Amino acid sequence: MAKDPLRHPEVTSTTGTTVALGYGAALALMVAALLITQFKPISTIAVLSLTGLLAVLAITAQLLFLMRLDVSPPQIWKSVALVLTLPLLVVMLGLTGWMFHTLFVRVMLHSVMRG
Amino acid sequence: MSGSNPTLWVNLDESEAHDSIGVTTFGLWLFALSDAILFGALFAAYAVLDHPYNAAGGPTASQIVHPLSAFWDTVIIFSAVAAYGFATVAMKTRNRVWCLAWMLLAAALGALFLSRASTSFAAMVSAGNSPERSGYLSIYFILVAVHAIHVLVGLLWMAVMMIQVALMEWSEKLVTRMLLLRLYWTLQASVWVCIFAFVVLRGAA
Repeated sequence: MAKDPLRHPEVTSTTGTTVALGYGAALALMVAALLITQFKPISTIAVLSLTGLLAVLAITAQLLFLMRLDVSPPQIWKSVALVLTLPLLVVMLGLTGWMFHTLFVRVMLHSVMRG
Repeated sequence: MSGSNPTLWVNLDESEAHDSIGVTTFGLWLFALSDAILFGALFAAYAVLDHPYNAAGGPTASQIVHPLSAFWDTVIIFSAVAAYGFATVAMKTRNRVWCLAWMLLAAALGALFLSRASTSFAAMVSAGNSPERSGYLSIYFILVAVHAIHVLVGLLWMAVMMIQVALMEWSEKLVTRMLLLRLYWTLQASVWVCIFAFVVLRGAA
């Protein structure tokens, strides 16, 4: 006898509460990021760091509450694939930034550009 | 050694041996991660080109971003994702009417998001700030437009799904497709978080 697809864990794991939590948490974090940027109560570098952290938290809230990622058997391999992909993103972004920063420092004619 | 053959294959009931829904959503999840790498490359290019020298005398980030307006875009895309989430909750209880109503709301919000993005692009171009104006504007347009194209694809997909939800039974195929779209649609909100934080707020900071 075929199983009811609507009883699949990926269907049943989502509830109105989880959707509302994911929506509310991500939105609240973005409101906080907006307010910090608009009113700048801290230094610019601290604003940049904090908004970056708030963005990471907002995405985490979406992964947990909207995509329902966790370590349960139906979702474990999605979580593993994500964890294995994150270092690739970090390395790609970090190395690109580092390479072009080095290029800028070593190659550009700073004295000419400053006039 | 006994005379009986070793068991190499257990003929399980197919529904127990193979989680078709799980395998299919995992396939889309791998696509989503590849897509994240694509956006990672665009963000890396943005980080490099977000420098006054690359503005070539044209506008820099601080002159083209509008945090408050972009925040409303954030509210709209988050609401579109939440609406689709509620559609899948309605699907769970086989409530076809509410499922379609939430999907319609999600599609309307997605269309509103795209409309605002198009208006913003048109205003920039009419002010002389088109993609070919500078390296910075090129990557800005590409980054935001690639996300907008993703949203457009999601809207087309949702239109197809609304027809299927209206006409088809809650079969394994239909449920799987609904879950795939949820994954894809939610990813658009996650990408927008990065654009809002690392393009708009960083530009305004």
